[in-house]
Amino acid sequence: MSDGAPAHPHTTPAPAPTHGAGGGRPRRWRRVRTGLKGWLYLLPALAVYGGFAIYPALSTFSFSFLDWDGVQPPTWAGVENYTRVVTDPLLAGAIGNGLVLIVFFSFVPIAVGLLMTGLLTARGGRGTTFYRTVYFLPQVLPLVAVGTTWRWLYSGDGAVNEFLGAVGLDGLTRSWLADYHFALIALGLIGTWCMSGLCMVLFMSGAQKIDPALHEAAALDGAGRMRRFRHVTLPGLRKEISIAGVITTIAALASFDLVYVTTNGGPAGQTNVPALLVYRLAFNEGDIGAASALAVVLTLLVVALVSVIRLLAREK
Amino acid sequence: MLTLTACAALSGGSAQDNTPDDVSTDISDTEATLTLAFADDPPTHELVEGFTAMYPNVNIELQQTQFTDYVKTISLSMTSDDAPDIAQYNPGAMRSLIPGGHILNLDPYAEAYAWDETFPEATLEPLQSNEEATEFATGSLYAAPGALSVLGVFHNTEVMEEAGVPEPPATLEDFEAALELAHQADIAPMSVGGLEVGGFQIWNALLNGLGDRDDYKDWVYGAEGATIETEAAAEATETFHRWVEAGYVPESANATSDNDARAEFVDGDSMFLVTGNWAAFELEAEMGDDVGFLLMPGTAVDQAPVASGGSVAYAVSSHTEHPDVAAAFLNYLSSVEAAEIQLATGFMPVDTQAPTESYGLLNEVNFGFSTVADNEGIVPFPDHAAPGMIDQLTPGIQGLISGSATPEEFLASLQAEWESHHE
Amino acid sequence: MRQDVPVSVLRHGVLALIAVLVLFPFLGIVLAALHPTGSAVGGLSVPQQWSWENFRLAWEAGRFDQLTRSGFVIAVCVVPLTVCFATLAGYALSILGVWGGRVLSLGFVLGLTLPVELLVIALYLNLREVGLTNTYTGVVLAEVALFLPFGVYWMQSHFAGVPRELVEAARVDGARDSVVLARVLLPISWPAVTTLSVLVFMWSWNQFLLILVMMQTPALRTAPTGLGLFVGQYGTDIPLLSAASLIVIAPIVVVYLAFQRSFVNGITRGAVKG
Repeated sequence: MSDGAPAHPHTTPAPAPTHGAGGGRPRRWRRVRTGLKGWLYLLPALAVYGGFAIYPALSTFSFSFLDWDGVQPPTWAGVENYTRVVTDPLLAGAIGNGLVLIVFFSFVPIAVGLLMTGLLTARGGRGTTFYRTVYFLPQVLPLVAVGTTWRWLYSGDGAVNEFLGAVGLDGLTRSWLADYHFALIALGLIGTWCMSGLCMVLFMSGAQKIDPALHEAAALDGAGRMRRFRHVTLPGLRKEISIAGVITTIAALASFDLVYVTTNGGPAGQTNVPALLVYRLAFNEGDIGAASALAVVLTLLVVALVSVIRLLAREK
Repeated sequence: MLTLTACAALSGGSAQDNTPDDVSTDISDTEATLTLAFADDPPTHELVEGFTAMYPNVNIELQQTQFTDYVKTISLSMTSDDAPDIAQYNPGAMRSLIPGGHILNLDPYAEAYAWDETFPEATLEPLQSNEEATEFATGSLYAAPGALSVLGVFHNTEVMEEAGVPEPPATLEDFEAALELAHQADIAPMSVGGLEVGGFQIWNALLNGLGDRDDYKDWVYGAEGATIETEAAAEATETFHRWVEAGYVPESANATSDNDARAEFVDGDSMFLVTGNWAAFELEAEMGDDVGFLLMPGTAVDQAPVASGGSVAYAVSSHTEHPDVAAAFLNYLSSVEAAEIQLATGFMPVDTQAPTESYGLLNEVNFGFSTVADNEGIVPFPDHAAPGMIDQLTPGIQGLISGSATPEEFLASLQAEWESHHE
Repeated sequence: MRQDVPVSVLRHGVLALIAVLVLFPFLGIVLAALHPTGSAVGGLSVPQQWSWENFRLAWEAGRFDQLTRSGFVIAVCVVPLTVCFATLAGYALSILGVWGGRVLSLGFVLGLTLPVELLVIALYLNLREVGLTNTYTGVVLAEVALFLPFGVYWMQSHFAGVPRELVEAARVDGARDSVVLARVLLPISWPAVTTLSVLVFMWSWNQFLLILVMMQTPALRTAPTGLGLFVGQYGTDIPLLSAASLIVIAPIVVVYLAFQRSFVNGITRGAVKG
């Protein structure tokens, strides 16, 4: 699930092992018994997952067809809430902003990660534990703390402007999160900061697993660094790239914490994201129907994008 | 002892019966423990203490929730089985709770206690609504105010001197001239908390200053056919827009929270701060004699003053077992004893006639408030016009500040929100 | 394989530069937190006088004693429950084999893509009906449900990687299923369990939206949620706010440094497996 938990549903679960090769009655009976006993082991997980994840997800889906403030008896609204998600510039705009964030949360970090991997692929690089620990650090921090920190770095007299001033770019300084055109980009760059390390760690460890013989063979064929990267490293990282894509895409679309503490959607709705509006509609404005519809659309979008990434990453 | 029988029959089937049948104004023999849910402190805590000191037979347990969560919390807790007996009034939440029958109709108590005489009319208006809670200032009473607030302009006298502004502006023209002087002296004319409510409060104060009262009230209260696309509102918006273009509104306003803006003003970084009296206590403590208060000036000196104001008000649950005790608490809010507490906690007393002894800034605020109150010029805050209005006001003003929206678009967006709620 | 000296220098230079970029914000707030309370701190600056009391002030002003305790209470319930349920389910799905196991596995994997936003509205409204909002029980169960998809997937693929001979040998000796799990599989599964535990601890500690929605009593909320509201109240006091941020991230950084390998493996290798 998005909030924190990395997702990599490309995995096909291990096939249920078959005991023996079919056969006589007693054996089959044993299989039936084991099959039932297995359910006992599954029961606690199923009960909690079913009751506190699947059931609420289905409830939200059913709420999305209601006109309901959460207090008075609801009335049927049909697909009206969905029409609103698509046509209301506020809601549709938030989804658009979520998609823009994917550029900064996914594309840029993956590009950075690949670039660094290409530049630095250490053949058996040593002393990298330190770097790995550091690069990975933003992944483990509560995003609220990340947000409060960046809010300060981006402020009018903050470190970002200080740095720009120091390198002679005074003309660019501004209060970044207050700027109509730059707020979303500034927010996205926080995501870049968070996610680049993850991508680098993923790709570098993936690159080290590529059989060195492949590189050598390519080198013998006269392939330069660039070509070796394109034809050996990149295909070898297919799986890692798809995982990075999935984790970062979900983080971008479902981001809430970061926006909540930095801009709260401002200025003038420039950084509204779906999660923020879901919260606002449901819990401040008492519009459970619209909030649910938006949450459902968000989920469909996540599932669709994740499926696309998985398809692209599939071996041909 | 006075007992009344209310004969109002409730229409609307499934809704909870929310009109008390027998009301009594004598609670001296009732041993009771009540719970009270609230967000604003002060004055709630102090008022409850004052009340229970008067009635030792009553015990009130307090449940505080942060303001940001209050709407959500209160809508849900007031519909639950163990609903609090008394809850701080919140217009957003009441839009669901009143039609659901969860809020006690206070008309019988208002009559028994003669609240129309003890509470100023303007303070009760926003707490009255029809049964569907679609229109306010009409129908029945659902809450009573416990402390009043008013919107105005704080000014830093030292900074004014520095910028060459001789005295607090008396007209809007003077005000704008003062902004220009500050701007020329390289001092921020205003601190603006555009990230939250600070931005639209300036717009609201301008609207007050332009003397728009009745059209605006109709609009906030949801009267049929009301609109915010009026001449006065257009002028207020244009004025704000002009200030943005002239550079009077800081560029970073959209990322500045209300607290940030207040801190800037306290540090002497700006000349004016538009906010409510609730800031007065802290400002006086930090700035002493350097801070003053005025209502947003109008176009002419002798114009009847208008100012947005609100109250920390309390509603009673229709599930309560002790409606008489709860009503006695509401009645206490207009007493002289309560007035002292209200003043001491930085609010305007409900009993405007109560003898007051305040000095300095608090006195200026108090004076400003009573001039408006005496002229019946108190109008409600604009975010009460619809549940989602605050989410149009804040981004709308941010749009004006960042130059991405025109004044016409801003007003049209407010009206669209209003119409989507009042269709 | 040899490397040229200049290449190696360049490589370390770039690596170090990125490390600095990552660490720079931390350096910033550590320095800011050491400035006197209430002072204006713009960019990076070394305080004239080191002021440690911000941590105490922030701790008291933000009621971080309550928040931290609450966060630990929740995590201490969520971690064992998730790990235990996930282990049992992973065992059932990969070793025992159950009817409909494939569909169930897919059902859990699907859970990895459900954003918390989809659940939170109904969780709140449904749990309100049964009085579980604003309680540890409600939040703990919701978090367990939230983290189970990863947990089940993780334990399942771990068990699937265990040589089948081990299990079969124990079976031949007549061991019951529960004994196989407890005596044969668990002893060799500690690394996987540890990794899952630290990851779940991290997600639980960092959880924001769920707590914001489910918990109304301030004292029951957790540190990140408290920080979210602290910003609103003390947003201008940069030293105090920085100290509060450091208080909130400290526990997770300590756990991270102690179990660094588990974290990185959990997210990277765990993801690549299968």
